[in-house]
Amino acid sequence: MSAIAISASRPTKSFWQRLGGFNMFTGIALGIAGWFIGYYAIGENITGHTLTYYKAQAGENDIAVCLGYVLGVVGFLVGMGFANYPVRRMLGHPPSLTEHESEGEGAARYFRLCTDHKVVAVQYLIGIGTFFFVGGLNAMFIRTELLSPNTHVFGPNQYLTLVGMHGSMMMGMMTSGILGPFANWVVPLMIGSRRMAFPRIEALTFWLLMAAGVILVTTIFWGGFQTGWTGYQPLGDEGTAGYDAYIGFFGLVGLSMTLLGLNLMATIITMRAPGMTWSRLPIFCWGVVATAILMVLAAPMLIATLLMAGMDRTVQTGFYIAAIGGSAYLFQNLFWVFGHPEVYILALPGFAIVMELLPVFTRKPLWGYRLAVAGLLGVAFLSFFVWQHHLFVSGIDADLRPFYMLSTEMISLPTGFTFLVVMGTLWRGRIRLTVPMLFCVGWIFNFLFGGISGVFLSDVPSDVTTHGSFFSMAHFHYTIMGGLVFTFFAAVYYWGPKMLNVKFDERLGKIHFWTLFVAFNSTFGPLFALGFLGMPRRVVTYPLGLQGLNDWVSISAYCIGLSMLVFLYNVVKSTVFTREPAEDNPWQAKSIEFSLPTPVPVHDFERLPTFDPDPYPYGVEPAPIGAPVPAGGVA
Amino acid sequence: MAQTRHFRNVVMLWLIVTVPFEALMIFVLAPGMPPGNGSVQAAGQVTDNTVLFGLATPVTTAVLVFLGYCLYAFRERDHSSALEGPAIRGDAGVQFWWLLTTTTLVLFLAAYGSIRLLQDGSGGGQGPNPIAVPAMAKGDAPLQVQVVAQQWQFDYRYPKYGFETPDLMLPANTMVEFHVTSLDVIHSFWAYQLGVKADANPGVDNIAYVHTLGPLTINVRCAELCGLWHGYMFDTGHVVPQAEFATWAQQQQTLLAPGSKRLPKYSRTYFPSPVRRSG
Amino acid sequence: MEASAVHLELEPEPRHWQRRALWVGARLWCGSISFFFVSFVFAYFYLKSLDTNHGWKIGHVTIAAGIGVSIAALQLVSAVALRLSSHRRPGDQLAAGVIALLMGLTAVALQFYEYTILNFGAASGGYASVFFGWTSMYAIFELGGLYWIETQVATMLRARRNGGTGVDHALAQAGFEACSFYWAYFVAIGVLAYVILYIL
Repeated sequence: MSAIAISASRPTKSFWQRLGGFNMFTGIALGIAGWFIGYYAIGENITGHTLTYYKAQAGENDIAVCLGYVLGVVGFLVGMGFANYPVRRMLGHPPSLTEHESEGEGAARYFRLCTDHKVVAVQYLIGIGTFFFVGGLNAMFIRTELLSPNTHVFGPNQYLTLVGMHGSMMMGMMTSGILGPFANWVVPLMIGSRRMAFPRIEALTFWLLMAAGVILVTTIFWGGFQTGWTGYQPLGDEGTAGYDAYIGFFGLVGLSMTLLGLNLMATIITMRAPGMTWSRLPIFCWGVVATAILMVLAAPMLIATLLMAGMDRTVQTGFYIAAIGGSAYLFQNLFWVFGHPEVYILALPGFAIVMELLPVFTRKPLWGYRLAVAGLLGVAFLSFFVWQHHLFVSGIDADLRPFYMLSTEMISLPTGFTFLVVMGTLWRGRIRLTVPMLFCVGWIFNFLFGGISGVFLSDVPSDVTTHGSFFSMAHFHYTIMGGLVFTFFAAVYYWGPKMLNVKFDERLGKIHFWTLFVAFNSTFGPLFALGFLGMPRRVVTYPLGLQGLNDWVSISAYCIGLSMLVFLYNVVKSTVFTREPAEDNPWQAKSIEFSLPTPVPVHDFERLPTFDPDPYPYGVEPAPIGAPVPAGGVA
Repeated sequence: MAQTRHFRNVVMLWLIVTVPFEALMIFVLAPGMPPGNGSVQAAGQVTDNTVLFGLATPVTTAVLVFLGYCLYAFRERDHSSALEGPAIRGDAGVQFWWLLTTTTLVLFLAAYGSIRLLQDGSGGGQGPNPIAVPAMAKGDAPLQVQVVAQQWQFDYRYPKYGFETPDLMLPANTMVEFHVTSLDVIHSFWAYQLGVKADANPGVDNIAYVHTLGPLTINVRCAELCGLWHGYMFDTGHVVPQAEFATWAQQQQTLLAPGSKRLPKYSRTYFPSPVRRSG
Repeated sequence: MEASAVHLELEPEPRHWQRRALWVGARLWCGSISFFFVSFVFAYFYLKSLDTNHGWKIGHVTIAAGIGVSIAALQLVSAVALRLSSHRRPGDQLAAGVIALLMGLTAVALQFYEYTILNFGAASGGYASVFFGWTSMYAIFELGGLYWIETQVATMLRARRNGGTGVDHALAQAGFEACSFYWAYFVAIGVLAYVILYIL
């Protein structure tokens, strides 16, 4: 098929010629043009005459704003070149899988639609990393405001916008924080494929996410939004057009998540090389499968929920407006049916990374492979049946409360499997405390406290006090920051050198870990106490007596910021200045991605690889005498 | 055998660490746990937290002691060493006991939590049709207090006396039935010392029961993000002796009489026309 | 592909991977849209059972039953035609594709016509909200599905013009199968919408 043919070299183009054509810059230009067409040419005209009264009331034209965002995104994607292939298909041209995959194009590939999964992964790493730092900066501002019990730096509106942007940025962008960079990079390699099942969709998920991030930032031009990342209605219905930006942001994130999950699922199901049976799949791929199930099924509900909110604000439906037959509970229910799987979308890749890395650094096979798989899939399955624990005091009919208490506590069973697997793998290993391993150990510590504190929130009597307080805030930071972000860094230090072909400074890495670990616990540990002492979430004021603890937390939070700067310095130093090329296999890992040369060639494998029976061929087989040690995975 | 020795060490260490920690948790920390013993429901939460801490402590110490022991005893400082660990791929016995222990714990917690919840509602908002009505609320008619939340304050309506006031005043040793509702967006009525938290939803009557004890000052805060001045939506309430409450109620009745006449008819929910954004 | 420079023919992945990926991808996407529309089903029953402030139907809310039946029937015929032809010869598939496309487009047009003749607006209570939300989203998704059918039709037309050269027939067949499966599934949701919104 001609589609597989790749042009190996290209006539060289000048800088300006490269700037033309379909790339990020054209995309931005057309995106801005699309905004103006949507807002002024269409939005103002179809609504300007009929709704003058309302516009005067609200001061803003939400239909025009929404149309502006929609057409802006469309323009951006057209400029990126995402419309070319669909139009070709409409004209009946045969399907193809590749775009801009040849090495001859150099760095320009990173600024355009490229279907090489390794390029998309690096795009993800840098794009998500940027927004992660923006979100982190918001957190620093939040903690600055909370240095004093009354408002002093930001007004309440700015404060709430910072809270909302921090939450949305982290919950939205970081959902793809591990799957985006690392699953896209490593899954095809691990299963012996050269690309993803739908490479254009793979690229689309990344650029959608970037468009989403920019839209979220534009909320500040409308005065921000005051709802936090949960966007509860009917408060959102009152908000300025900044809430439209929130809807646009999370809607696009939902779409990106759905497609990312669908693509990863389809890849793992259909593109495994000969010998890569399900029972030989590396545990990371199992984690990706579990997460992808949640993404494919839960994220569409988020899109629908937010579209309903958007319709309430623009065409005057009443989904969430009690006075005209709607219900605020409808939003809460729909949001959390998505929202609870969402938090496992954030947590499960972390489980998978820890279990994937431990065998390498303990020099032992994964203990209880099947148990680990059962744990991942069990969490994914149960996560759809726990959402009403977010509504324990909401005033929704209480009959199902015992059920949700049980289902929520039951989710600690599959999570416990993961802990058992981790502990079993550590047992009698030869533990090498490298930087990635340190972050995995950090995960064990943090997630333990995250999980245990979850029990207090799942228990209705205890939840009455802890619900909506800093306690729950501390809980989910322990699971998500302590779970996802720590494993994100583990993955950065583990696969990063091979992805970027640079060697990171190990000493700086260790400094990064220890400062982050200490500062993290020093920040979020006291928040449990603040919650117990009666401090609700998202408040700009608090009782005078709580200032000591709050200041301690704020200063610790700055230390997290400093620790991140160490990381940033390490990355910039090794990628821009020292540029020491990475070894092919710095960790003596026995997984397939480390058997490839660094940098990994554009087409991954010369020929289809085949796979051994054991995905984790570490360790020496135990002697048959002595204490009975059943080998071979009885799980 | 090395494995047996390691296992024995971990168990011993766990016991050594857990016993004092457990004692500290159950006898020192947990009884002083917030929200304190301001009401029967709040005291119930303290008991509940004590049980949870009591169960969580040995689990936490087990994992941490295990982790610490592994990192200490099995650490390999020479990263280029060719030595590898034993290729153990699982152990049916360990998995069985783990599953049994965790399942037992989980089932116990769920059963215990449900029983506690169904006893008296634990102070949480139960919606318009409560499933856990305390025994006392069934016989003697409890004191009804409607909490009307709006951006950004709580008002309290006493249907028995016919007035609405921004001051929360409750009689001591009385069963109180809060009816929490909202006029605009979602708020949450959190009377910290009483151990009461109930979301205020527009168009919903959210009922929470609390049995007050002695005189008390209550910090009330809004616990659900409700917009611009959410951070300032707090006030102070009081539990006072019953005689004092009766006097106060009579005074308020007279004082607020002109306003009371103009109040909308008492209803479990109110539907002021919403301010919609349009176009 | 453009005819520039040297073409380096690399050893491809097994051909059947792409066909299976289409098969799996279409089914996964069906899962996604199910959960998308389940939100509206949930909203329907939730708001109906709550009937907050007696606002399920405010004022006279009557729908155009005739148009509803027509839309559902058109979609049903279009899906049946497409799905039944999915394992037949490309000639039959072409005819079925064109029929499905035309019927689908008519259904979308009818839907938008219906909005202009209704005696209630979006703010007429919970039912009206769900009705407008569900049907408009359904129509937009329908346009996406019709695009997919159009690509199948266009591919077949072009292949016929070129005399069948340069076409991976097995892949085209897999594409058509995936498309028709998705379309049938999507129309089933449409029929569900008809039952819930017009009959219940």
